[in-house]
Amino acid sequence: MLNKFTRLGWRAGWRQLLADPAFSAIVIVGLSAALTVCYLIGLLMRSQLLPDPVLPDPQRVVSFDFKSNMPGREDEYWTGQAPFALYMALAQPGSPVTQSARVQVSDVTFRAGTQQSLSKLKVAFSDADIVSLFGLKAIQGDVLAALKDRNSVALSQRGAERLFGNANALGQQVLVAGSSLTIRAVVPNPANNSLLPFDALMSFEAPANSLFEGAKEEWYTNTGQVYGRLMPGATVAQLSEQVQALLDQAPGMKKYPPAFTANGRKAAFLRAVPLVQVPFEGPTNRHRMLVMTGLAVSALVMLLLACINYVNLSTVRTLRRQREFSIRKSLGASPSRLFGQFVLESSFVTLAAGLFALALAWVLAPSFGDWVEMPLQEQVLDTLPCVSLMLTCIVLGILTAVYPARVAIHTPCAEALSGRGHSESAAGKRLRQVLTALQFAAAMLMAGLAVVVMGQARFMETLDNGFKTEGLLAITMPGSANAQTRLAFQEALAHQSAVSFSSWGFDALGSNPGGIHASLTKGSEPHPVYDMRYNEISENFFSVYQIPLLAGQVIKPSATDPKDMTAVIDLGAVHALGLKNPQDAIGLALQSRGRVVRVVGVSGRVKQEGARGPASPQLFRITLKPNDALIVRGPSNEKLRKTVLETWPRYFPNEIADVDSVSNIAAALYKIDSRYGSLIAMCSVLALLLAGFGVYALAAYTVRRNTREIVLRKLHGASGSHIVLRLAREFAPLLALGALVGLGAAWYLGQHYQSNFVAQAQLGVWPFALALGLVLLMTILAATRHIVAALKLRPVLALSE
Amino acid sequence: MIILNNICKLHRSGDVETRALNNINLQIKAGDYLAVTGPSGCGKSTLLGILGMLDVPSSGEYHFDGQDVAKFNEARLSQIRRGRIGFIFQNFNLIDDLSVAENIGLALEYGNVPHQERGARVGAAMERLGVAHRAKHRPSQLSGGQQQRVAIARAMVSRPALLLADEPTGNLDSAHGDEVMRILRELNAEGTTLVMVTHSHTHAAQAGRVLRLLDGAVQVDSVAA
Repeated sequence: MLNKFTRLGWRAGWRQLLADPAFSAIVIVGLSAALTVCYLIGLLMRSQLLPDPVLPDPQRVVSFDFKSNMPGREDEYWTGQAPFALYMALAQPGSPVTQSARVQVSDVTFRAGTQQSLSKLKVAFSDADIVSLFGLKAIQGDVLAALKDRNSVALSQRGAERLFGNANALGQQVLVAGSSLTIRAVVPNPANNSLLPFDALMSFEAPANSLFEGAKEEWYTNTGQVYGRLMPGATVAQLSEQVQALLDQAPGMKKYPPAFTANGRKAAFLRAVPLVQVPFEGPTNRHRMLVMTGLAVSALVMLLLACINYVNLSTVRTLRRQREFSIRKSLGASPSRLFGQFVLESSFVTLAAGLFALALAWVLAPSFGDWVEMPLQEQVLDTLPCVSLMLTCIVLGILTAVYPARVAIHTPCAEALSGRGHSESAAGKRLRQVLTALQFAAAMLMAGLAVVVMGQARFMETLDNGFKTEGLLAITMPGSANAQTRLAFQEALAHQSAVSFSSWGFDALGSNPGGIHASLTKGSEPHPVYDMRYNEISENFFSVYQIPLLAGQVIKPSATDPKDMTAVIDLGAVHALGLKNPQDAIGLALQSRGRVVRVVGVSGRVKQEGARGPASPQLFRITLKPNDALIVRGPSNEKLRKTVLETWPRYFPNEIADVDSVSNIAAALYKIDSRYGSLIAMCSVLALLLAGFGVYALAAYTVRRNTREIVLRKLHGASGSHIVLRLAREFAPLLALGALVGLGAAWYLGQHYQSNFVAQAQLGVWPFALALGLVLLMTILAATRHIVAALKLRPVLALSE
Repeated sequence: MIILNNICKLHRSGDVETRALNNINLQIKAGDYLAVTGPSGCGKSTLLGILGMLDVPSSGEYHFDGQDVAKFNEARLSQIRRGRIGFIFQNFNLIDDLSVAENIGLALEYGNVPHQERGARVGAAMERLGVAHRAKHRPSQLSGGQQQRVAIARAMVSRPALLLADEPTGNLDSAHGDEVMRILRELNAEGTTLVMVTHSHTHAAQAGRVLRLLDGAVQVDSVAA
């Protein structure tokens, strides 16, 4: 019985699709476009939010998380990293964890293969316990042995392929930082959402793991990740308390100024975070979650739009099918049979849309994955997402059938069968109007939000941070390179005509919103303590970045007296120190941890924190030593890059040059906002098209329903503008209602998004005016054809029907 | 078979109330051939709608085969209608998207007739009504007379006990109208109870009993001579 019913229902559904191909196309295309977007975004969120499936017991494995609490700083945040000194403390008897491991991830150059060519791989330097903590299993060899041996490497499949192609990697030799290492294991590629991304694994004690001096012992620093497994029966809260106590009591913490712990104050905080929670913690992740939530909301809004379209158009078509349903009722069709028929017809459409969506997702997944930098192609045909998609289509089929079925079931049979068609009830008309208004609201919400996000992204890209990045290249020094080689490289570049200036720094300005901070006092006064961002630079720094000097000059420290330290502070630091003008800062002595630095110059305000954080006062200590990043400027970017790449191999023959433009590096901070803003913009275009489809069909219905009235009005002298106004009155109130809801929501969500930024683009009413304008334009375009048709109606034909 | 006691039907539109049927009392036995006549707006089609359970009375009792169906909900009414009541309309009411055979077969979709038997019944109905050669055609491809014959085939294929015809010849010329009346007489002769609304005195005279309505009430209920 059910089979017969289902078969007849599918046939009816198929017949309905063919009966009105334009309607069917509009509905299926709209639904499948919305479903495709939802599916791809769903895959993205699944990749980002669900824990790595190979993780054994992710609730019991924790990542330790550090937050500094420097006096004078208001903007501290959980960093997602922890001091490596914690690992040593956790290795002591009475440890609150059963296993622990440090992880430091860096890009390392390998020389390998028959051609002995250079390749850069992402290496995770880890302790052996990482194998058990992350459930790592070798495809070949022994990964545990590889991590216990400083001269061994475990490669991922991807890493092995890059170094050795199709050849067997196990047992092969590679050269890393001058040392020969053996490939002891090959492991599967980490999942896209793995917290431990790597191409290769090496022992934490491997010589290639270049850590700064004191990295393993310092407590007040973030150096990398430290993971641990909870003791049986212990809770995360208990472990957090225990590691906080370890931090508080650590001998290394006592060397910080008394202000750090005055009045019971905590100098810093340490906590344990279960691995399942890690993707949601920290300001970067939270921002990413905010943007992804925005994307998800956009996808759902589009789906809602497509469904509203379908329900509206389906209801209109049901009213035209009153006679058919009355005939069926007269032949004995029960309300439940009619409802079932609607569900099957509707599910036919939604499932067809779902299949198209799957095909579209398959085609678009590579581009989408490139765009969001998360490969998704392999997941498109995974069982769980496919089944979820089909189930969603079935649920949508049921939900979108409810109202049209209700209309059909409550159609007065006798009237319909005697030829007196029943137009929609007042309640039905109101519902259809509300749905149409919702469509307008959704389109305006999407358009408004897209303008806000893209406007903010554009604003951030052009923000004046007090320094120029155009024409600059940043060259990252290999960790293994000594100071002599670095200086020799710089010297070699300085002699090239393509290079005008060069300067050392920790990294490219604008690439690191966090940075290193120092707590300073004036002279020998213990209070107050000033927090400043600490940078080490060389004398050409301000010329390279074109940062103006407002007072003093750049004076190098003495080459012979190690206690002589000179620094330039920025205008922000001058104000933080309570000084009235820059000149007052010249000659000031600032002290930090027993060392005194002399202020020799004041620069314009420099903001490295980007748009998200407040500007920190900056201190630039001038040093004679090279640092990790060499910034170069030249008259021609192309020649500059060519010169750098040609010079590099002479000094770093075993390393691949890491060169990028400083502008690109700074822009990378806002890549998420820029990319996702573009995605939301694309969704809003789709939303406008969907709403346009809906308006087009409803305009057709409105004109058809009002044909007799229009014609009679024309016969009685109504002009074209009267007719247009009459029809416009059908949509104008709905547009107004949609604007109220949609623009209101866009304003609220836009404000919420922008509240994450300290530097906010002043967009005023433009996003909302643009959204309203776009929807108005869409409505006019969609309705024009039918309005023109209404104006051309021939009375004699219309009245004789 | 059918007993109507004090059946009333009111139509409400805003503040305006129209009494379409006014205390109708009627008994119809199995096998009766009843013609319902009267001027336009007297309630003929409304009465037919109530008899066919397509409409519910505002008050009164309607006993069909011993059950008072006046207060039944739509689900139960559809159950009773299924296979027991057939309808023929003035405007044929065929479904344009279905072929002739599919339109006729529609009547068997909701009943318990086995799938294997359905084809045979539809074929037999088409043969009897002379439309078998048009089985695959759409209603829009048929003449008015042919369309009405398809409608009659649909009405009778489930072998209903009661056939309700609302001006079945209203849209036909006299030749086709006579043809339809002949078929209806044959069906009644085979035992099907037939209630027909008609404006035509000639056709009304062919019935065994004539019910004349005026302003929603029974004016005359006479046995044909």
